[in-house]
Amino acid sequence: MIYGFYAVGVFLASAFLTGLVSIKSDKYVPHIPIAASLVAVLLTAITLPRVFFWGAVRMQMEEWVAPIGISIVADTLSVTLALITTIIAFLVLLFSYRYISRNSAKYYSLLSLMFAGVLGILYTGDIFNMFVFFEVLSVSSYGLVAFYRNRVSLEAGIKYLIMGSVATSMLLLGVAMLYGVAGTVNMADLALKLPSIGGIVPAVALALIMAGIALKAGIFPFHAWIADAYEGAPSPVSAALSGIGIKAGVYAMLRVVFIVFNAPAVVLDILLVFGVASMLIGALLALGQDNLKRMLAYSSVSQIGYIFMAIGLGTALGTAAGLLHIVNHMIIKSLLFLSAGTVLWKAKSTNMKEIANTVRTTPLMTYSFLFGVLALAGIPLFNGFVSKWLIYVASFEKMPLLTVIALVTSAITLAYGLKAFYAVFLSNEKAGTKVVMPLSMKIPLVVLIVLVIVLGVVPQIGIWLAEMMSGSLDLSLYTGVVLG
Amino acid sequence: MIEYLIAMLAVLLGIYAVAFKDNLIKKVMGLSIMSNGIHLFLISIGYRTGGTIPILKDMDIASFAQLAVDPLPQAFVLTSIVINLSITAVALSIIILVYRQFGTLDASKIRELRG
Amino acid sequence: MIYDANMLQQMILLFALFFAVSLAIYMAVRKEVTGKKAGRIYVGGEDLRPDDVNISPLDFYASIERTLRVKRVVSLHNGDLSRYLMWMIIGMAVFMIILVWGMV
Repeated sequence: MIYGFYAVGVFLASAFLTGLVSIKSDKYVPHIPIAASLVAVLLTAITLPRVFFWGAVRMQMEEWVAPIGISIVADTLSVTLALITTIIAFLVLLFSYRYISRNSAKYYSLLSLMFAGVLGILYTGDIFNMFVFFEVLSVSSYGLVAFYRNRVSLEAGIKYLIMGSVATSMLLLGVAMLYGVAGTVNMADLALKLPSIGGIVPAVALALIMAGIALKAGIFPFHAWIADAYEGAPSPVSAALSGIGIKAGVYAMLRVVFIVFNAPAVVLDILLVFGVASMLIGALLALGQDNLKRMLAYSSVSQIGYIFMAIGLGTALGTAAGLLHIVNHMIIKSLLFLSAGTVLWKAKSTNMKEIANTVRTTPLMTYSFLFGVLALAGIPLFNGFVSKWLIYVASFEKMPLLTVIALVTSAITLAYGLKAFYAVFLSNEKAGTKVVMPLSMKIPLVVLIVLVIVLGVVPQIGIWLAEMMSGSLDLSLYTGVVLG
Repeated sequence: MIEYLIAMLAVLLGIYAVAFKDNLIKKVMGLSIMSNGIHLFLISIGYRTGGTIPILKDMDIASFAQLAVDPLPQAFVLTSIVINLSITAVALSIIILVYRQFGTLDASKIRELRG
Repeated sequence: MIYDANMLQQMILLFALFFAVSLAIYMAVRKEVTGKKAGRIYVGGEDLRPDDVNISPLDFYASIERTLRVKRVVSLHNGDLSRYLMWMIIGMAVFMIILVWGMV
């Protein structure tokens, strides 16, 4: 009885109810998803102690015996990411309470669907089910990116849609090939059957699946949609997409590579190489941006590169470092996008200079963005330092050149972060209209700041989490849980 | 065997249409063709020569299990058809709005987001 | 423990200590530098006005191109959907080639 999985149902119900209630009046529309996300946090919080202290749990849908039927698996990696997801979902929905003024029913429905999709990906043990939830996530995000129907959002939306659909079709083709040779779509069962099926088909299938997931995860060369989509989407949606949506892609990639295919060395090397490329390219592209949201988008590409580089190292420390960086980056990027959102709420454009000239920033806005930037660059006292330090150490053991590249990229990260911080928050302090932030926008910022600082000053929490999570990627443990 | 070839051909044609045609509507049509190819591929995986439909009727279980085609890929295809339907719906509605804003459907002219 | 968390904690506390000390020094010395001077930025021997700080992306990309001798950095992100899809397909082909070569 995995209560955390019912969070998916809660979000689906909230999407439906929001639409239904909006027929009568628009007044209570935001309250439904916010309440739903609180319920989801609760459900996940109940599941977490059971999974962490008792071991991973498996539940079968409709009482079909594994490997027939859909398995729902909650292990430490799933539950940790699900907890952060539901917390960020609550904060994003709360932030949107005052941010979105028109068409709010459609917005909240789509956003609830998106969260349902992400949670479904996290809990499922069946690769076709993962594809279905992937599509749920993708289609609702296509709608959310194109939400403001202006030129920027529409262009971003249609481009994201076309690229995303091609990618998920490739994913489906890969899953179809796997079914064709193995006769099952259960991930644990595939892991047991695939080694005895050699030949070219599993390799081609893996390539297709990786290409499909890589687009969602945002690795080079599949990163072209990210800048446009994050620029066009409303700021809370960008926070949700970058904090949660991308991580769903990373999680899916981890499950496919580590569980289904048992992490062959070639694949880890691919992840390493493409990770390093994304790291550098993302950072360089972010440095040259004039536009606040595009800069944050390319910064996400760069940090995902860190994660894949760490995981591609293949060592225990590397994997743990990468997993911890996933958790840390979810919090940091959401903080950055939400604090950018407070500034963009009343600004007329996303160009940094123009924001500085039209909005006078309050101390909370300034500090939240500053802490986000410092955490992103890996400054001690913030949570980014813990995971980045582990990444430096792990890469040094394998190849010191990687550590150098990682450090250089961190320096570039600090550079573009501070440049944006200075340009938007510090220059022109007297110009512009004063923005009064409502409480619904202050609470998410404060919560995220607290998380960033606590995880940074007490690194034991992060390291303990990282160790617990990396235990989930062990194939024999996973098959034991699922197949009994 | 020939079903697989035609399915792959459809997928390749779909990718060609999406990547190389400039008109947005043609790109969406390419998505549709590509997904049809994948669906054909999926159903062909489950096919058994001389098999019957996977609905149990007037037969005992053992011979049914030997004769019936695999229903699981058919379930996959049904799911995927619905998903592609919703993608096409969202795509076409965005394209309508794009046409209203930009006045053109040529993807190479809708290039305001750079860098 | 795959990694010593306590050492990390000590590093962080050490950093916090140094930061607090330097902050205290800054606060104490700041009173001698009063009023208008605290707001101006002094970089490279001359005052810097905020308008000069933002680097225009085109100049920046041009400087990267000159340093790394990589052509066409900007033209790769020009917004053309077909080109982005070409990258995706090429990336997919690269995955396929490497994986088939490596796993078979």
